[in-house]
Amino acid sequence: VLTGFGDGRPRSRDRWPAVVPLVCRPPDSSPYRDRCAAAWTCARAREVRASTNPSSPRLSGEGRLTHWEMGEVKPSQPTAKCRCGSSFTRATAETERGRGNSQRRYERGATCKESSGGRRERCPLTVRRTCPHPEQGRSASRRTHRNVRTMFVVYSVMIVGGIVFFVTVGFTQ
Amino acid sequence: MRRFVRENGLSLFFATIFLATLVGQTFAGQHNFNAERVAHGQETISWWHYVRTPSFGGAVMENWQSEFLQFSLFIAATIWLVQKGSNESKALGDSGLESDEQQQVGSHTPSRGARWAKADDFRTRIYENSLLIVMTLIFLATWFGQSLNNWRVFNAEQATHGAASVSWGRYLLNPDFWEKTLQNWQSEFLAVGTMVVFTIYLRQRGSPESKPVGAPHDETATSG
Repeated sequence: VLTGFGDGRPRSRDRWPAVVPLVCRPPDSSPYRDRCAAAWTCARAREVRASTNPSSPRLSGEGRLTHWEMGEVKPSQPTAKCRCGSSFTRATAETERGRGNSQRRYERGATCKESSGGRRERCPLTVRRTCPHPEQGRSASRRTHRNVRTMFVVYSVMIVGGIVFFVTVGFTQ
Repeated sequence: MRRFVRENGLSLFFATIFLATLVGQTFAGQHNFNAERVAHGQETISWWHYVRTPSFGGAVMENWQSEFLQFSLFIAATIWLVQKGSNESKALGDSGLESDEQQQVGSHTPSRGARWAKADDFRTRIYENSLLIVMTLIFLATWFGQSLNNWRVFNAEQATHGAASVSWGRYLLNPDFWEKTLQNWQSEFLAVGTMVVFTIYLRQRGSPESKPVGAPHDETATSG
């Protein structure tokens, strides 16, 4: 068992945890309700199980859940977006393979597990993401924040500018 | 640059077509405006002159106000009202403002969350309603802009027909103002209601405005 996964420390390839179980649940852990879109959360199990074959993802069970967090891929905390259907919880197996120390690749194949247990089926989505090294990730995150802020400013200027212009026209013409 | 475009594709797309259609409206409006002036034996006006006329300002503002009213009402109504089976609705048991934990407020705010969400004081109360506040303010400002511009146009027409001009306050009670207002509102309300209901049964693969293609019709609040 490897613990402390997601702390951003570089590991040698043979020590990469092969399977990180993710479970979509309602945020308040109440009996399963259909809460997707803005409300979904992904719980990341802290305990992960090393696979003998890192290239073949396996579902390893829920593990011990340590905290809830919004599902998004962070450079140092590779949680994954989950989508929950009305009658399925989706346990997601995520494999992580080292690509040197500068880049990690997360390949996620999802498995749907019926709420009542038992039948499993393949999720419709397979997501591939490439996450930068944590150091690169922080600067990339700042850049993304600036990019998004730029569009917020552009729209604000268009709207406020338009209103000021036309109200002025209404007052003066 | 490529990264910027990829990360902001949606807002860039709509900003571009907004500006393109606004410019298109100025040229089409100028031609229409000048045609009427010629018909009345008046001189034509330049494009820049037309852009600064209340006629153009009123036309723009009355459409803006209805759009922002639409979203303001939609934001507010979806807090408490739900529609079973609709992608645009919350789940049936979730109506209301929800718990601090669900909304990630105060101690539940993640480390990268908004500062004002963590504050857990008056700033949080403002921030947790900021979208509705700003959209409503824009609606009120544009509605005010519409009233001013259409009032000028109305008085210009009154003068043309030798009738007395009216004050801005009187114009707000005039059927001309309310016809121009309500004709925009009704179309917005129809479109929003249609979106709420049609997403129960109809799908668009890949769009977050639709449920997943295979989702059951009675499944509520899922995004595809």
